[in-house]
Amino acid sequence: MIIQNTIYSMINYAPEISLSIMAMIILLSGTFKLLKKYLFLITFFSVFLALFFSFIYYPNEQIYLFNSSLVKNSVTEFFKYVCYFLFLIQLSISKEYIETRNLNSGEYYSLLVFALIGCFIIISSNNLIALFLGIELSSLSLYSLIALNRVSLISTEAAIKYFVLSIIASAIILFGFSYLYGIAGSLLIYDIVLYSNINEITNLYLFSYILIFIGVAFKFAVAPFHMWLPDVYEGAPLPVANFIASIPKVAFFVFAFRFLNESSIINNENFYKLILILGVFSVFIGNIFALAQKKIMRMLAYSGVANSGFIFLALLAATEYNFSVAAFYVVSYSIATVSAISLITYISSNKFDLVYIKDLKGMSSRSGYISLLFMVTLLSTAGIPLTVGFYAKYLVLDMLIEKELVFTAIIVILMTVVGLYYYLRVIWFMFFEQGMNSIINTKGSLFKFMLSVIPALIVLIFLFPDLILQYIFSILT
Amino acid sequence: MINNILSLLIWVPIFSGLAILFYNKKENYLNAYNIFINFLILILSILLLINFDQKDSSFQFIEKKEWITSLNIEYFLGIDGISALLIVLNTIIFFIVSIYNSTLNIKKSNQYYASFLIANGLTIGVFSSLDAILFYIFFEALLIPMFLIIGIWGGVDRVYASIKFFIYTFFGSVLLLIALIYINSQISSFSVLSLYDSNFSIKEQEWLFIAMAIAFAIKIPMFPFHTWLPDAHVQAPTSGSVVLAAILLKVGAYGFIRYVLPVVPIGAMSFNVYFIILSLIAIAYVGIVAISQNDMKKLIAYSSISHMGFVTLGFFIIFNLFNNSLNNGDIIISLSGSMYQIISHGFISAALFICVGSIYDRYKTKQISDLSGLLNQMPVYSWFFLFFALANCGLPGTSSFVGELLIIVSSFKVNFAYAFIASSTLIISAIYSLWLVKRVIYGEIKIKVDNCNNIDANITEKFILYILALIIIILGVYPDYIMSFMNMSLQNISSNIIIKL
Repeated sequence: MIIQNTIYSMINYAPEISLSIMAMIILLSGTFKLLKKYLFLITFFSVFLALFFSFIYYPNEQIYLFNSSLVKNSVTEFFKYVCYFLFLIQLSISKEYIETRNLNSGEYYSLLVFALIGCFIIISSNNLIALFLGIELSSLSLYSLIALNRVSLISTEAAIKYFVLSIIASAIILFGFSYLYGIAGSLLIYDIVLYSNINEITNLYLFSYILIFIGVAFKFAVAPFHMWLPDVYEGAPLPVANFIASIPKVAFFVFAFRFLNESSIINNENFYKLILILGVFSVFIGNIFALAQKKIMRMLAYSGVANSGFIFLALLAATEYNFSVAAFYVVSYSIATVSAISLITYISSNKFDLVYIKDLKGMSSRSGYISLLFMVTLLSTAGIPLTVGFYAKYLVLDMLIEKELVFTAIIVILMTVVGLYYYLRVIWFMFFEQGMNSIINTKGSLFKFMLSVIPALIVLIFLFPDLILQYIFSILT
Repeated sequence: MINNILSLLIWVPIFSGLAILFYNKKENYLNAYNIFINFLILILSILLLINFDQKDSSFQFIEKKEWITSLNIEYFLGIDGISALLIVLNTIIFFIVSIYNSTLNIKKSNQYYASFLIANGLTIGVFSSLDAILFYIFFEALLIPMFLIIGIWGGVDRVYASIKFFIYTFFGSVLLLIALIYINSQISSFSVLSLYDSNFSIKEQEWLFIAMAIAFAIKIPMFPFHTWLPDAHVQAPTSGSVVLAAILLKVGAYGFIRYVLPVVPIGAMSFNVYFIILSLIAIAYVGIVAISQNDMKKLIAYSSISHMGFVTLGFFIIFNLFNNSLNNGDIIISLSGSMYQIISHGFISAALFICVGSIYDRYKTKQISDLSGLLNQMPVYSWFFLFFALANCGLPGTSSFVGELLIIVSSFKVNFAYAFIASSTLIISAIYSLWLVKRVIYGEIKIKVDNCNNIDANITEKFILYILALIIIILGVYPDYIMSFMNMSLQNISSNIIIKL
């Protein structure tokens, strides 16, 4: 019986298992001179293989694997597909960038795949230990990825900052886990959630939840736990920053979802207030600090802080909308960020990185098409109509007003007006200023096609949002 | 086709604008294409006007499709008399602008034309949507092409002006969004029809009014929120200024008459006095500010603000009219005065901006102090300029006279002081318009131009100016057509207001 269960679980967990085998193969291939040229293709193939397996073993109903420590249902699969999609885009855009900087080693690709596996484990785990392993797998891979460019001082600094702070966050999460295990007497998350519904929520239970959500806030870079984000964005190689900006956020959203879904903790006044205050504070800090940034990645980092604040506010909607608001926001934000950072990666695929916003001067005369894509992406992050970001912001506002938090809604929306300025500044440098631009790369029509996938999606989903909205509403209900 | 005419009007220019982005070789083809599409839209809108049933007070040409069912948002289009007229104003202005653009030498002309075509479609969308969120989406999307027009093709300070324009308007519109979401949370619908049937408490109406009124007051613009307009006008290219003055300001006015007055009349009533005072300040004070301007575009921009003051005055005195007598007719007269002023100002300001733009093309200056004696060098132009300046100060026989007269008459019924200040505009606008003409057209020649014959209006410019002058005279002499066109719709709106009060 045990063997049967294990085999059943292993078959259903084929995508991740195949990915981890392939990650080791990639690592090995990196050591052979002959195979080193094909690393990119092998990685691409392995992701496709995993994607293929996850299509085949798509769960028709919720299934538990490995003694209920992992769960597979339509929610986990949906977010995994989002991750696959984002990962493939990032991977294909970063090829040129990595090669010109001589970073294309086996370690790079395999660590990236390991980080992806870590995120997948976070998405599908139902067990505190598995969850923690997933967090550590993704974080440890990311520490080394940030420091991949050994000669760069700024990368090393960013890696150490991320390492130290992330370890502390993990420790805090683990502390919370230990309390939860003590209280509920079970490592399974659904037992822990169930405990809160059956018994009265004690202070200790609340405390452990707060500890866990501080960890989540750290991973989301919600202010005041956002300090690492700008440095990491600035210091990490752009493809790695692209990864950090998107896929862990999707994963940690599912983490938060798993802890809050059907839990009565969200109705606890203290917990509710904590999330609300963190959200508003983060929107505030992110938008104000982004105004002053001169470097484009730091600006995107602070804009990420502001958007994470919105995600936290969206988590409050759990009681009415069952997380679909937050899910929609996370997906729309992460695709827009991936698009923005991919564009920057593409632009700086020549020798020099695009560091300052003013380096974008004269961009539209160099490549009008790329500037247009950039504009669509930025407008989506700002939440202007004609882009999907509008619905994301709209849903959050709708939910806040529904919960009679009209004042909060007004504050956060006014902060986005403030924030609009720094998005417009990028557009201004691209379109309104003339300038010589030797940094900007304009080569490769295949890359241009890959880059236009997300902006096209952003506009298309804006025009026909009903399908995706209804899908998200249905799976999260 | 006639059933889907509104969708055609919206999407044909937008898609043809997007298509033009991929072609930038032969300038002539681009011009011809641009004029052709705008002409097509003009013909479509005139078809709309012909097929419009004036006797019917309800919305016509309705298209209702499910769009976002999960958020209660519909693709709901339809027009009444007010929006039909504004759509035609819009298409005429864009057609004229497309002809005017063909005389210019513009860098990146395909992007320029694309921005205008997209703006054309989006404005028609604003005027024809009957779903509040659809309206909001068009309203806000309209900012993007205008932002690019000012920012890319504008003057020296274009960046400042365009960003100020964008952020100012965006600030207003997020408040509108909040108000709309709140309305939806109460009545769970965004359709204009159910908005009209809604019944909010006094307190709710007051808050909703503040949020929505700030959004539209920025767009019109009303007195304390007007500072973005002179900057935007001065920095925008001529065609941009024309669209800004003739169309974009009307979007704000349209918002008032469609979303503010009939939906939250009690809220409007409680802030009525402040808005009347702000309108009067706009009329008198901003008019005086206009006198002291040295930049011609700035002068016309301030005169636009002053004239839009009449529109808001006409909107807000209806509550006093209501208190004085329960006569529906008075309210309709006041509202139709405002609507007439909106349409008339659309044409006059467009004409003035085109005149100034042409002077700028020839002399490379917009400063009044640099110019003098234009009559000697470009006589035809000067006569048109004089005519439009006179129309601007409300000469009887021109269109602006009708609107201003109706509003002044209505304000006499309310309060003598209001009427007195409002009629002061007849003098103030005469001062700035005629003084402008005196300084620019008459007097000694300051800038010598070698060949005088060549710089006068060419055929296309004459064509534009004749059309505009003709429209202004027709509207001034025979206002009845427009009045009867709007009558049923205004009755509908005013009865809505009265029921709620």
